[in-house]
Amino acid sequence: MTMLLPKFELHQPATLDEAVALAALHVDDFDLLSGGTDLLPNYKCGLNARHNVISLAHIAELKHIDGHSIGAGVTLTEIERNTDVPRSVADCARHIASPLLRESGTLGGNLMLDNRCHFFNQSYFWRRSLGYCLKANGDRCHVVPQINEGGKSVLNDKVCVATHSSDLAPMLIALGAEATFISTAGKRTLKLNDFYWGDGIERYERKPGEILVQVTLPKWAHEVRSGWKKLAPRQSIDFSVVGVGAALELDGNKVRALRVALGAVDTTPVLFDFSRLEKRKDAGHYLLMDPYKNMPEVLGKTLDDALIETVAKHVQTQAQPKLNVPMAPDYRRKMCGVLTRRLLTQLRDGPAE
Amino acid sequence: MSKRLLKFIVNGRQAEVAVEPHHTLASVLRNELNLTGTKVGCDMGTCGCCTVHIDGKAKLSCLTLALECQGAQIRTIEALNEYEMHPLQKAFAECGGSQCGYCTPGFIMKSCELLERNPDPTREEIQEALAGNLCRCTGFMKIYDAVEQAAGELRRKETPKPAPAKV
Ligand SMILES: Cc1cc2nc3c(=O)[nH]c(=O)nc-3n(C[C@H](O)[C@H](O)[C@H](O)COP(=O)(O)OP(=O)(O)OC[C@H]3O[C@@H](n4cnc5c(N)ncnc54)[C@H](O)[C@@H]3O)c2cc1C
Ligand code: SF4
Ligand code: FES
Ligand code: FES
Repeated sequence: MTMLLPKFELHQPATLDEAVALAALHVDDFDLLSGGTDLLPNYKCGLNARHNVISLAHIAELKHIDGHSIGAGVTLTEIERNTDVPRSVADCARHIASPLLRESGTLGGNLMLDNRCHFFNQSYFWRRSLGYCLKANGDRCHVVPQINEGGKSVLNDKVCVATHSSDLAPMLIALGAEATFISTAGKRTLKLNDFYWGDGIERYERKPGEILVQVTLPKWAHEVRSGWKKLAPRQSIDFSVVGVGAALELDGNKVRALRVALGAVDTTPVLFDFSRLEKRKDAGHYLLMDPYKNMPEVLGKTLDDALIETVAKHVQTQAQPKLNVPMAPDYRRKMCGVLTRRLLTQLRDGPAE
Repeated sequence: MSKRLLKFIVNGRQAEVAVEPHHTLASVLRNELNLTGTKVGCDMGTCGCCTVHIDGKAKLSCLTLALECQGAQIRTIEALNEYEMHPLQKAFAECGGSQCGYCTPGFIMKSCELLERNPDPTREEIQEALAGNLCRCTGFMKIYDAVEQAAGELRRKETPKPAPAKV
């Protein structure tokens, strides 16, 4: 079966400065292309294609990797084989997509992955037959057709709940990573967690023409125990339908810090920072989950089975997977708890990094 | 969007083709260069049929823009049997690792990259390396057998024969 790409102009800058200038020139009508493993399938389905594609594949500045920072152009295979990054990060990369896709797919593309939904990731023909949805060409949502407004049930023409399915995003957020972007306005660095925001269309707080340069890990990320668990229909090729990344700092057997981040259950990765230092930005909608509602106190307590169970229950209770990726939401919600429990037990009992 | 000249090396020979920016490497190999050994299964990254080597790395040609391969070295299944069948091809035939054959070029190109990187892989390493290739016929076991057999064959070929004893 051949899936044709729509026509576009391809720009192939050799430096970051050229790429920034091109992005500024084509303001509203460009997409960045790194490995292309997410953008090209979406283009083949006719999903929001633009007339200009700016390739980042030939920019050497984006390809640096060490234990402290990872360039946006570093491939998933390179991350997987790197021994300087925390083991959890390499392990997370090793479970993304398939070996063939990881050879092309990059960190930048992974963090900026488009959200997924049964009604969105379909061919043009398929979507036209059912009627387009909010995220591409349409005016309604097939997953949550009605919302409650002022006590009345009205047509949902506002909120898209498409799932954010990147694996590295929650893992890096759990480790407290920061992201650096560049545009004609200069560079800016922010907490990766603060970057993700909003519904399945908005997804992140990105200024016009911004390009992700690199992700940096704090020293803390190398000192704590961290790990990754993922649920997917098959162990290879498939996207996660639940992903759990965690970073745990112990003082003897007492919890000094704990950060758990969920992937693939909401419109952005969701961080549960049990130190309550970081919040989820208010996306202004009740369809999106609030990790800090009724959050149990865990700091300073002994990490016994009961405490792990409390944490896992909390994560499970707050998670609100939607019926828009494979596997039933009830099952995925339960697995949020199960994977959290397994991961924390493994981190507690395993050797410290 | 106008055509541009793509110059690259395909199976050791210099090739020049005029391609449009939205053409994939798979379509250029098959439609312009007539190298139809590379198959297109899903065209969406999920099956591995279209695997070729780009600068020594096994990648999906259906998700690679042709113009992104400017100056690159491409190797396709056609390169493996220029003079005689490659040990991987022989082993796939002998072990029943190829039935309808549609997935075979992809499996062989990925296996070939694996064996160049790791001449003596364990069964588990073979399974992991081939985790992005789908086969609907063989049930995979015969494919893993074939890769093991070919790996042995290639190792035997590489080890130089002991020098004849001096009389
Ligand atoms: C069959 C299949 C299975 C997959 N399974 C998984 C999975 O299990 N887990 C997972 O996380 N992903 C999965 N993916 C998605 C994808 O392969 C990876 O996330 C990969 O890392 C994407 O990187 P890329 O460089 O190919 O992205 P691209 O397709 O090049 O880009 C993706 C998006 O990011 C933007 N972008 C890229 N680089 C930058 C930058 N530097 N700055 C700003 N924006 C940028 C692009 O504009 C585009 O919108 C899968 C894909 C396929 C086809
Ligand atoms: S969640 Fe609704 S609006 Fe968003 S992609 Fe799915 S169907 Fe479309
Ligand atoms: S045709 Fe390229 S992966 Fe299926
Ligand atoms: S031999 Fe038929 S798909 Fe593999």
